[in-house]
Amino acid sequence: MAAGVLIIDDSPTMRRILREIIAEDDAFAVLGEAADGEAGLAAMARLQPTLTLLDIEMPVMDGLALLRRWALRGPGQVLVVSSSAPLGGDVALEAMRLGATAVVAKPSGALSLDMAQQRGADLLRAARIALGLPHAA
Amino acid sequence: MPLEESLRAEFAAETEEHLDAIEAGLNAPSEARSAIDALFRAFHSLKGMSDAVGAAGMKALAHRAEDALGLARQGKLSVARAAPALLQAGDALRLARQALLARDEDLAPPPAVLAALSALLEPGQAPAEAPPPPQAAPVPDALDPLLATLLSMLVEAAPGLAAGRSEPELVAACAEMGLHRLSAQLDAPPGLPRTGRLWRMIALLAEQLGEPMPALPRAMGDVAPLLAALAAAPHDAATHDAALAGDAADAAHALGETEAELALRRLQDLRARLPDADAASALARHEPAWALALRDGSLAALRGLGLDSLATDARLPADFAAALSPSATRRALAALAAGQMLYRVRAITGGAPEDEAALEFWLRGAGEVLGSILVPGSKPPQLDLLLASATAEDGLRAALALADPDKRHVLSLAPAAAATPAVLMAPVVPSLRVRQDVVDNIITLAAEMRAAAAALSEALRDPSMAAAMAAISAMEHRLGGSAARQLAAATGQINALRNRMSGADSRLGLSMRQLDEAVLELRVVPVGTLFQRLPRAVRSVADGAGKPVRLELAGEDVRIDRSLIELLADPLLHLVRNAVDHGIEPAGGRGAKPAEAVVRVAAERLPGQVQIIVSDDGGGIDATRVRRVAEARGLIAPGTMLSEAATHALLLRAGFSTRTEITDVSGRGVGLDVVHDAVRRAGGHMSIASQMGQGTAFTLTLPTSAAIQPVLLVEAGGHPYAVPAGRVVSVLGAEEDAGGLPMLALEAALGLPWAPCGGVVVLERPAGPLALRVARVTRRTDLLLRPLHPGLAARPGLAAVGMLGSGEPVLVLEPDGLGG
Repeated sequence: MAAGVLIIDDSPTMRRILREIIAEDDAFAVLGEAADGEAGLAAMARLQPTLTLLDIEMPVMDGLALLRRWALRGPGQVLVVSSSAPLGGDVALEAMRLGATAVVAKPSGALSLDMAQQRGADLLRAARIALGLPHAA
Repeated sequence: MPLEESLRAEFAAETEEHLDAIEAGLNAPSEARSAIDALFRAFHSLKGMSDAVGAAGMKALAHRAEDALGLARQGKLSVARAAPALLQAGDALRLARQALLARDEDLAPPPAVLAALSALLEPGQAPAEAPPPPQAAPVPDALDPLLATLLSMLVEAAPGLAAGRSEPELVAACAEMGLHRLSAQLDAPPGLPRTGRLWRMIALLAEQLGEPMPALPRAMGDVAPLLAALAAAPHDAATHDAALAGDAADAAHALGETEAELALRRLQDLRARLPDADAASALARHEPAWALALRDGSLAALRGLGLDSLATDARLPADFAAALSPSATRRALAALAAGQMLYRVRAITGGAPEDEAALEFWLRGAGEVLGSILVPGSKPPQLDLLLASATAEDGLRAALALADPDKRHVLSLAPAAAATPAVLMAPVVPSLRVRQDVVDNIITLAAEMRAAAAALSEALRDPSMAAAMAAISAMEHRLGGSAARQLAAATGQINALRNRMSGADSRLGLSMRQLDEAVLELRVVPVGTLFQRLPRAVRSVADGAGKPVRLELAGEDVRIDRSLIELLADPLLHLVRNAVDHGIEPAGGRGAKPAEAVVRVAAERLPGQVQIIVSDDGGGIDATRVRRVAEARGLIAPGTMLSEAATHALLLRAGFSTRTEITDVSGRGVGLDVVHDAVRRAGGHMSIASQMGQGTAFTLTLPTSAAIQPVLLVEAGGHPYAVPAGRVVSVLGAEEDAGGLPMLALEAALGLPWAPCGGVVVLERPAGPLALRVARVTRRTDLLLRPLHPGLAARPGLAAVGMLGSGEPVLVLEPDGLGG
């Protein structure tokens, strides 16, 4: 059975891109979306996703504040998908300290279609590792 | 890359929303935190979206604005002061958005706006990272009293938990109150990682209840096994394990080792992001230092690791860059700046005292030792020393030969610093994304114009004009009188005009050549784009065949016509697969050669041509076997004597393969003939060089531009034909001896009636040279090539059709397809 995924990001464009990336892999099914941390917490409680893709920079409640609440309650695993958490930076380390499985950069089409696919593949790979699934063929 | 329609609509709507919000927010600037946050997020979202659709210009602009607002968030910049520059940024983003949506064009950010934004950022301080966002106000919990009780129960149970005790009532109580993650962690197998995670969760619970931070006992336990497991875990992309680093970090937290936790957390982040190129290079840089510290088995050794900036100077050797102390790093960089060299010296330690003294003496004379790292697993222990020295390598070696004649102490000495990348110094030229069909259109128009200019030029030089003028001038003499004077005045005017036209024509010719060069710039792309698919292909074939193979690429920046890229992509892939599949011996069959085979793809620029060489160090082409197969297939008569080149040329014949078993990689009916054909269609040619037991090299020689080809014009049956100038070995007179080369009359090859021979052109072919008899050898010229009609493309002797300046079409002959 496909693992349920929740997408929390304030940008509809980014949510759409993430949804399309997730749809590439049969192991996952998107359960829902939320546009800020507070709505995200409510959606987590309601949908009980196996995996949540979480943005950091959001209105109302940001990603780290959400992680602080989630750290005690769950559910599932959280993969931070953010462009404001650079490699080895404070935000990334705090997210992992709070129990996020990993931090990945937002998908970027900066160079070519291949690059966008590559980032998408990186994201799916991180998502699979977060849930202990084998690598996709 | 044009955007997909629905994504475009969404992008358009959302970006407009953010831009409106920015404008509204800045027209009435407020220093309130919420207002700054909203502006920051609007630019931040624009940055993320631009990046996602590949609009680098927009992204750069939004990023700079976001940085400025980051400062405003920290209270270091007032929004009122920043507003004018930010409004400019908003306007520029609007323009860029329109260009992107209307024309799929990525506008470069206006330098003035970028400069205005940069001026807001304090000099020398560019916040690369968004500051930690504000914590949301604690949400009051409805279950406050119960949770507070739970917290005190947890704090009370802490010593027991640290000692590994399980607390089933606490597990149940937490689950009842919805704290499922905490409950699961209480139920997890005891150990330092669990303790660390529990301590953090208890602290979070206290924070959320607004309680003071509880004092938790420091855990006891041995962290060495965790570190050993981490050291032993392979860190390559396929099997890395970030969770192990996370466990060790949690254990460090339980032990109160903040610095070590930070280092391990960084390692966790790097490993979790591993496919990312930045993470991979950072990991490679720090790996030796980490390996050493982890092997030490104590958290103390990890202190400070990962605290230094992850960005290290590329001029320092990777392993030392991670291991050097900050002051040593400064000294190393200063030495490099002073023109000194860095050397890596591998030395054995713990030898006889007099040896040590000799080594020390040499080192002191040689320069300054900046740092050392222990060579893992060496016995007796070996040290790698980083030496900064003003002496050249030869001088150091000479002094070393005196100090350590028997090489008892110094095992090796080599320059250690990577070459300074010159590319970094190149000034950044702003670039502009333009749709491909716009470029194609310009190229086509330039080609048309070139043809028109050439037609004009030929018309001006047409000998009939001079003949007409001569006739007029003869008439002038015959007429005499006033008619002659009038005629003379008219011819004088015509001649003056002709001179002016000739002048204009030569100016036009010069401009056309410059235009050609400029257009060529539009047409060419780095050949590296062609190489991108190769590593994966090699890996998959090599893995499938169980052969260890290394792919080496060189000359990626050599530029080649864009149209050739499409034409060559599959053939190159095929050659590389072929090299792995057929060229390289099966594992264990490589004799004395290294077990890891090398496939090398190298591009090189020659005048007007590009050469791509695909070589392997495999078994080479077995000429006997090639001949046997060719005989069996009836391609050659049994017992035919064949030169090496002719044998290799057999491989290019349709459907030829010496492998009896058809593998699924390069079997599929696509042979070297298809590759050869593609190279020929690209206006180039292919040659094979092979040595038994040493390997094989396929050399593809291609024109830099597929559109303009230098040719030699010849005539047959009253019509001009062209042969590629690059293939002409020599031109002989009609009576000269061709030296026993195979001879072919062009008329016979084209099915035209016999004509007397007016010249012989000797052409180069993979199967050996060919002497081509033609009615006349006219001249050398550059020909503008057009795609060949499909009906003609099937004829083996034809390569392309070109256009003479007069507009007359000319067929370009393909020497390989002529005769036998």
